[in-house]
Order: sequence, then C-alpha cells, then structure tokens
Amino acid sequence: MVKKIQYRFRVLKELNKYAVGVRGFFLIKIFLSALSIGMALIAPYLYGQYIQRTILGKHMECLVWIVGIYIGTQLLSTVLALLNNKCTYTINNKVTVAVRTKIMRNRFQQKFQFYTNLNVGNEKMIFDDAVGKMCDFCGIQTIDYFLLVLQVVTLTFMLLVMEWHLAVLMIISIPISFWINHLNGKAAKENNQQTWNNDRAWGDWIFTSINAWKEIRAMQLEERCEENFDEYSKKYSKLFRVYTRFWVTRRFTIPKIKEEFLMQFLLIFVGGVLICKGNITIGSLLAFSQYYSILTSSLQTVINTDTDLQINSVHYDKVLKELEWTDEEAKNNGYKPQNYDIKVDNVTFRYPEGNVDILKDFSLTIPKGDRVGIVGQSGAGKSTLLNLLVGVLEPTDGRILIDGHDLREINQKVLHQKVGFILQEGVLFNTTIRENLLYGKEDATQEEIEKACERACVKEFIESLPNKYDTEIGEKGTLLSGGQRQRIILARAFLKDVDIFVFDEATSALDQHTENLIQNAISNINKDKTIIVVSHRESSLEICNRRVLIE
Amino acid sequence: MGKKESTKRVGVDKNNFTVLSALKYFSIFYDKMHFNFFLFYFGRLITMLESVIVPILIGLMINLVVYYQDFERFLQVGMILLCVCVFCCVLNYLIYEIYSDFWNKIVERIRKKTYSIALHMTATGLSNSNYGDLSQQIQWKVTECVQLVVKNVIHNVNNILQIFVCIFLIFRISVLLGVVTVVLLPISGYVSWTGGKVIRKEKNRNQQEYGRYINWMYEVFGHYKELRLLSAESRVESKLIEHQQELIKTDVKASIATILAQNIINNVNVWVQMILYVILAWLSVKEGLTIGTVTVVLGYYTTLNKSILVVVGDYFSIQGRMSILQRVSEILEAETETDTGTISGELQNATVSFKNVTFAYRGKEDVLRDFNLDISAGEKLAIVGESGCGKSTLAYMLIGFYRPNSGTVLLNGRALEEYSLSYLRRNIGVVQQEIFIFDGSIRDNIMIGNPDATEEMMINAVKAAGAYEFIMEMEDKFDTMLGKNGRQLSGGQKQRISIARVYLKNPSLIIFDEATASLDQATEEKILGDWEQILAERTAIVIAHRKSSVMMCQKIALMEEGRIVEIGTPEYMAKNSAKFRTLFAIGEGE
Repeated sequence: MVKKIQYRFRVLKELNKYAVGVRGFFLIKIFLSALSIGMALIAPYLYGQYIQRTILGKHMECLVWIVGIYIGTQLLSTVLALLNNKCTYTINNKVTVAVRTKIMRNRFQQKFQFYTNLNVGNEKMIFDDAVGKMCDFCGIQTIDYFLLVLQVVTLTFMLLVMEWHLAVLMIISIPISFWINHLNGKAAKENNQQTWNNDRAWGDWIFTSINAWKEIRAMQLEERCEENFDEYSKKYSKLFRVYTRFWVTRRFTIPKIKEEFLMQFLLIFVGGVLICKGNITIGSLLAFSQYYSILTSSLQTVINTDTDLQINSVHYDKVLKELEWTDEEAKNNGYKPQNYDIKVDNVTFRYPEGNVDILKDFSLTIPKGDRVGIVGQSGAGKSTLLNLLVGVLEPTDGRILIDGHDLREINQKVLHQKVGFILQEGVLFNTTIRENLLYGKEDATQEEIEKACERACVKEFIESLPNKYDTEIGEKGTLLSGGQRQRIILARAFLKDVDIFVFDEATSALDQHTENLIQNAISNINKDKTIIVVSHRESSLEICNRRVLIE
Repeated sequence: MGKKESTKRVGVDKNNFTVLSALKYFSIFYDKMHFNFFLFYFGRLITMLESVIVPILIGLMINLVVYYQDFERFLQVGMILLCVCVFCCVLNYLIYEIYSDFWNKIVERIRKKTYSIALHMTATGLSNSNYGDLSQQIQWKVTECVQLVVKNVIHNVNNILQIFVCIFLIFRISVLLGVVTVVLLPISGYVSWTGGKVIRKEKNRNQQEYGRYINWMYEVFGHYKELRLLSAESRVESKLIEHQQELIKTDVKASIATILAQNIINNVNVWVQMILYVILAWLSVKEGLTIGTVTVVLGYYTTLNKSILVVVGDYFSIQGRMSILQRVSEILEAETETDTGTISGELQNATVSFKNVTFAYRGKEDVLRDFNLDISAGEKLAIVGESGCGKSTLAYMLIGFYRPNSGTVLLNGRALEEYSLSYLRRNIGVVQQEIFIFDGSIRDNIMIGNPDATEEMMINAVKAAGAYEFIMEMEDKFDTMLGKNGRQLSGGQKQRISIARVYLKNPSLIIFDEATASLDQATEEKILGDWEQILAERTAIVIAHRKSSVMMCQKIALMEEGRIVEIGTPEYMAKNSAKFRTLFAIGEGE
C-alpha cells in the first residue's frame, strides 16, 4: 500500500518535468474532482428526505426544494465534467506529446545495432499503449484514487453516525462479496490460462495451415489438418464449458449476493428490525442503502485502481526507463567533415555472432567526386562495405577515415546529412509524394521540390497526375511502379543536397527501359559529387570511372 | 477448380440479410438444437420473472414494518425473498450448462465447415484472400452465428416481455402512473438512443484518426535506421507532434460529445425521475400510496430504463453482427476445387509439355505468354530467370492449382485436365520454399510423404536430403517434437525435412522450387551429390537462383517475360548466353 503510493508519487514527479505550463490545470482538476465526488453524496440524502417528509409526512412544500436541488446538482455536475475534461486534455496534450517526443529522440540516438533486434510490436507497445496508460497518472491513478479513498473514509464515518449497529454489520459483510469474487477469479485462472493457450496455439495453427496451403495441397494433407483442427476444437469446447460456470458465478451469482442479498435483503431485514425499535426512520434507511451502494462501488474502484497499477506497472516502468535514458556518448559534437574524402584502411569485418570474415584487410580510397562501381558475387560483402562507410556497422579491425578523421570521431548527424542512399527497396511512406519528398528537406519550397524532381526525371510524370504532388502513393509506394519509386527517392536525395550518392542494387529489379530512365537521372548529378554504385548489371556501372571487385 | 471465373452460386442476398433470413441461412447448423434453445429460453424467462418479483417483496417488507409493524409476516416475506434468490442462483447454473452445450455443438459444426472450405478453396480464391482475416473468421467470427440466436432472439424476446410485464404491473398500481410511464419512458429511451448514436459516431471518427496515426508510427518503427541515414530526425519529430495533435483534437471532440451526450441523458433521466417523484407524492397524498409501492415503482422504472437500453443496444449490434455473418456466409459460399479428371493410378516416365500456354493471376498482367516447353522422360531441367518471371507458376500449374487461360499442358501426352487432382498431387512431388511443419515428431513430419513407408525407406530419404546428421544430433532423434511446444528448426533444417518428405513420397516427377535457397554451401553440396542416384529414372524440374544447383542439370531454360528465351546445356549457356552470365554473375572467361 505505502509502496504503491510512493510509486505513484515517483511517476508523478518524473512526469512533472514534462508538464511545463500546465501544472495549474492539475490543481484546478483536483478541486473540480473533489467537488464532483462531494456532490454525488447529495442525492441519497434528498431521496431519504423525499420518502420521509413527502411520502410519509405528506409535506408537499419540501418537494419543491428537493426537486430543485436534484436538477440543480445534475446541471452543475455537467458543467464540472466538461471543465474537468478540459483540464485532463490540456495536461495530456502537453505531457504525452512531450513524453513521446522524448522517446522518439532516444530512438534516434541509439547505436545502429539497436535497430537490428528491434521488434515493431514492442515499439508500438511503448509508444502507444505504455504512454497511453501513463495518462492515467494525471487523473485515475492519483487525483481520483486519493479522493475516492477520502470518500470511502467519509462515507464509513457518515454511515456510522446514521446508525452504527447497521453500519458495523454492513461494513463487516462487504468483504464477503469481494472474497467470493477473489476466490472465483483464482479458481478460474487456471482454466483461463489454458483457454488462452489453446486459443493462441489454435489461431496460430489455423493461420499457418492456411498460409501453407500450397504445400498442404501438394502433399494432400487436408484430412490431417482437419483432424488436428478438430482436436483444438474439442479442447476449446471442454474449456468453454468450465469457463461458462465461472462466468455465471461472476456475472450472476456475485451481483445477486451483492445487490439482492446484502443491499436489499439484509439491509431491509435488519433495518426493519431497527425501525421497529425506533432506532432509525425509513427515509434514513433508504438513504443509508444508497450511501452504502456508493461506498461499495467506490471501494471496488479503489481496489481496481490498485490492481491496475500493479498490472500496468510493466508499462509505466518501460516509460520511466525511457525518460531516464540518456545517451552517454552522444556523437553530436564530433568532427564535421568538409570534403568527404573516404579512405578504408585495412578493414576487417565479421558479425559478432558469425565466424567468417566478411571483409578481410580491405583497403579502398574514394576521393571526393570519384565515381566508383563495386562488383562481386552476392554475399561477398558489398552491402557490408556500404554499411561500414556510414557507421551503421563498425569495423572489427582497421579504420575508416573521412577527411583523415576516424569515422568514430565524426559527427554522425552531419555525415548522414551528406549521404543519399538509393537502395533496391527504398523507404517511402504511405502518404503524398510531397510529404515523402519533404523527408529529404523539411522546409523545402515548391520551387526546390520541382527542381529536384526535374533533375530526377520524374517531374513530368508527377505533373501528369491529377493531384500532382499531392498524390497518395500507397503503402511502401505500391501505387507507383518500381522506376517511379526509385526516381522519387532520387529526387529526395537531390532535395537533401547530398555530397555522396550511394546506389545499392538500385535498379536490379527494374527492366532495361526503366533503368535507362534512371541512368538519365543519375547522369544529372554534378561532377563534384561522389557516386558509389553496387550492382551486378553492366549498364548500371557505365557511369563509373573505375571498378572495385570484392571477393 | 475448373473455370477461373465461375458463376457465383446463389447464396445470400447481400443487401437483405435480416435476422430472419440469417436464421434461415444458418439453420443447418442449428439442427436438433431447438429443444435446447427452448429450455434455455424458459430458464431465462423464470429468472426474468424473479427480477420482477423481488422489488414487490422488498416493498411489501417495507410496508409491513413501517405501516403495520407486523414482524412475523415481515420475517415470512423475508424468507420467501431469500428462497427465491437462492433458487435463481442455482437455476442460472443449470440453464448455462444447456447454453454451453448448444454453443459448443453449433460452434464446432460451423468452425469445422468453414475450415474445411478454406482447405479446399480454389487456389485463385485463396491467393486473393487475406490469410489472417480468414483465420480470424474461422476461429472467432463464426461464434456470432450462435450469438444471433441467443442475443437477437432469446434475450431480446425476454427483455421485451419484461418491459411489458413491468408496465402492466405499474398500471395495476395506478392507471395515471402507468400512463405517465408509457409517455415518459420513450422520451428517456429516445434520448439514450440518440445520445448513444452520437457517442458511437464520435468514437468511430476517433478510431479512423487513430488508424492513420498508428499506421504512420508503424512505418517509422520499421525504418529508424533508414530515417536516420536520411537525417529525417527533426522531420519525424515534428510529424509525430502534428499527428498527435490531430489525434488529441479528435479525442477532445469525441470526449466532449460523449460527456455532453452522457449528461443530457442523465439530465433528462433526472427530470423524468422528478416528474415521477411529484406524481408519486401527489398520489400518496390523494390516494394514500405507500412507501413500499413508491419503491416498487421507482425500482421498476430503473429496470425499464435498463431493459430498453439493452433492447436498443441489441438492435444496434444487429448491424455489426449481420455484416460479420455476411462475411461468414461468403466463406461458406466460396468456390472449392472441383475434380473433373478421371485418370488415376501410377505415373511413370513422366513427360511434360507446355503448348502455347498463357496465364495471368486474377486482375494482374500475364505471367506466362504463349509459353512453350517440352521435358522428356528422365530429363533434369533447370529453369532460371529473374524473380517474379513466372517460374513457380509452372510448378503450381502441374499440380492443378491453376489452369491455363489458353493453351494446354500435356502430361504423358494427355491434357492435365483429364487427370484427377489427387493423381497429380500424389505423383508429382514439389519441394517448395514455404515449408509446413506439423505439431508432432520429426518422424510424423517426414512420414507425411508416405504414411506406409518403412523405417529404412524413411532413413534413406532423410540421408539423401542431408538431414540425417542434424536429426541424429538431437536428443530424441526422430522422436524429437516439433512445432509450438517443441523444438524450433532453422530455415535450412525445415527445408531438408521437406526434401525428405518428397523423396519418401517417391514421385516420378519432382519439382524443386528454390529448394536449396536457405542451405549453406556444404549441405547443398551433400544434397546435390545424392541427386544423381535419387533422380535416376525420374523427371526433374529445378527452379533455382544458385549456380551450383543449376549447373547439375542436363539442360537450362532461361525465362524472361513469360517465355523461354534461351535453352541449352549448362556449358552452352555459360559460354553463349550473356543473360545467363549476368544472372549468375559469371565472368566472360569463366
């Protein structure tokens, strides 16, 4: 309990750093929530007064103020809810955006190896689910939690004052339903786990077997598949039967115990006895019953909130870890290269888990403005070399020098700004052509965009489209042909104004005609820019003034 | 199979799938379940009546205490209430046993049926469907077929009945109250209904915006490295903020709409409640209405409100359910392979010839254009060409997945259509790139090729497939369990298992479709070494990207744009074909 409260404050403190300018809203929110929770306590009192004074005492004049207050509080709580909502979103807008931006910055400062083992699903979990859950902290987990605890305490006190015999009895019986619920949940856990496992294995099985339909048919395995499917299906049925029993307990039996037995039978029964004795009036008893119902539901919420904290702490911890993360060796203040004379000096490379040297004692000099073609069989290490040149991989042995400085001492950001990659499968986003081009230069003007497209020989094509630069290109640019995609990527490199162009099998998947178009575009590259081409096609290497064979 | 675009069978009228027509359509799956439905309904009816009686009993208890101070009868009523409660608790367990029973039976039936259809769907149908979606439909969406009966029929009827019973009882208490309830209830019902609609609409819109945002995020997650090389960090950051602000904008809108709708519903309900309060107070003064009756009426009013919301909610869920059931019905109506061929038996000395074959996948460009190729018995032919040029299609055609749009494929001189599908698939072995591993032992997975094979035959096949060594290195050898709860194999190991399967099947025509692509050089050499012996007396087609496998064949055919453009012995091709040399990166003099 204390630990959980400490944890809440720790998270709040961490988030506070990202809440610049919205802290006032947090205080307003506390005030509004307190008001709302307090107002919820008015209705039962009015109900009791109504039964006692109007129905029993036949005082019609009380009815006016009872109805008036009822409607008044309802209207007021509407206003409060809207104001509260405004505060919540103002806080979230600031904090979650800041937190996500921070995590994104972390991502871009990681070492390149980090990306190889990256799991996209996991990334989604952190950015979306975990940060989303974090929003709870500005409301549910802190303000609401503490106020509800306060409400529970107040209500307990109120009930004791109203009629302490009844209050003690009813409060003692609260744990019964919680306890049964807990037992039921515990007993159902094993079954749920099995169901979950079976469902998942079964789902995987269905998916794989449909996915592998070619082999299943070629090997005539249909019947076997159906048998296997039936097995899962039978197991599901067995588990479902048990599940239903627990479900009935949770869905029908426990609410019955809570609502019919405790709140109606026991309360009216014992209350009836107390009314006979003259300890309590019927109006107070009915009000008592409503207060009691609020008490149990608030208590339930408090317990659920605590459980959620425990369940979600995996998420919270992930976000906290990200927020505390700093890159120890930030590479943003290294040497800023001027000329980009590249020198590969006796480089040996092997993957950490591999046992074969991909490159061995390899040396190569590419002065500025050089046009070099790299050839060799697949697997000879051509792509490895390219990755080494831009720091994506680090040599096991030897050095890579740029302008005579070791790559490790160079400001990587500046380096990446000056290199344009045109790969076989380049990155294009599922958005418009313009948006995609802007990834090359964020603040490019229309004029610059058009000029870049013209040089990449793609301007005419884009302008022939009905929506021109605002044409949507589909996922990974699938609405375009391969040649169009490559030329747009090339246009993006022109827009970025790079000094080194790297073509890695950029045209291998294209037919000769399309390739010629791209070669035209490539020939528009200024003479002072370095060009490195990796290709197994003769025609792609024509622009190079020398070739390097890697074996 | 047969014709590619066969006429759609008369199934469900797309725009007219109502509860009734859906029930009729799925009635085969409800077979012999009607009595169970009735029992379940009857049980629910009793529990519904209980929920009507309980407020009356409570009201009675209050009156007995407040007005009559009759403690003895108060105790009696209390006991009755307790008994009714306990009885209903027990009853619920009983009727839900019946429920899970018919649920299981119906769901098993329909799942089995849809899965079987998925397994036998035409190749064209399958390659055009989304496998993930299809599995979802089979595993989960079909349950809606039972929900249709439970929610839209049984619960719905009971809820409507409950509404009538409550209204009737209120009329019995006071005609004026009854009339007022009948007038007021639709108002709060209507407000809740339209309010709910607004909330749903806003949620949907929000969902769309979220979809856009998350798709973009996924693109970024997959390309951190590339984005960094593009130095697009600041662009991504500003995009991230922009996307989130868009999302929050719709979030705020949706939440305001939700809060407003929710509060309007609450406000209207409070007003209606207040009108009731006033009338009840007036009645208590004029006609001496008791507190017990007041609590009964207020209790019923709450019940009525809830029931109406449930009925309305069910009405809304119909649309969603119907569109799901429509998708399920589409699977049930999907075209399955039809076997028209009659030739069966054993294939020997296979010769294959493609005569002017043209083929295109549905809605795509031609893969094969006027394709001609002859393969004589016992020949080993390699087919090479850039990826996507239609090599694999040839293999699929031979085992009857697809039929040519024009031209014919002859097997031993007879058109492929004349052979039964099981004949083709039994006698032609295809080693494919995608390998399917069953949950089961290695032995099970290999014996798939020929369930009647002896242990010796199996071991020979395994040895020839270069799989013997790695299997023997495992602790349980051939009994090692594979699959979800077992050992995971590497791509290369799986491929060797799949080769062993086909060897064990002992077909007279073998097609290797990129079969050695994920093997290391040494293993490949081992497999190639055994080819001579394994492939003797068989016709073999080798589709490969690797030089080593291709050079082992007697003839090489080079495919480009859906045709064979060059054909010859490996030596001839290496010497005379520039295209072949480019494809395999062979130097001029090599």
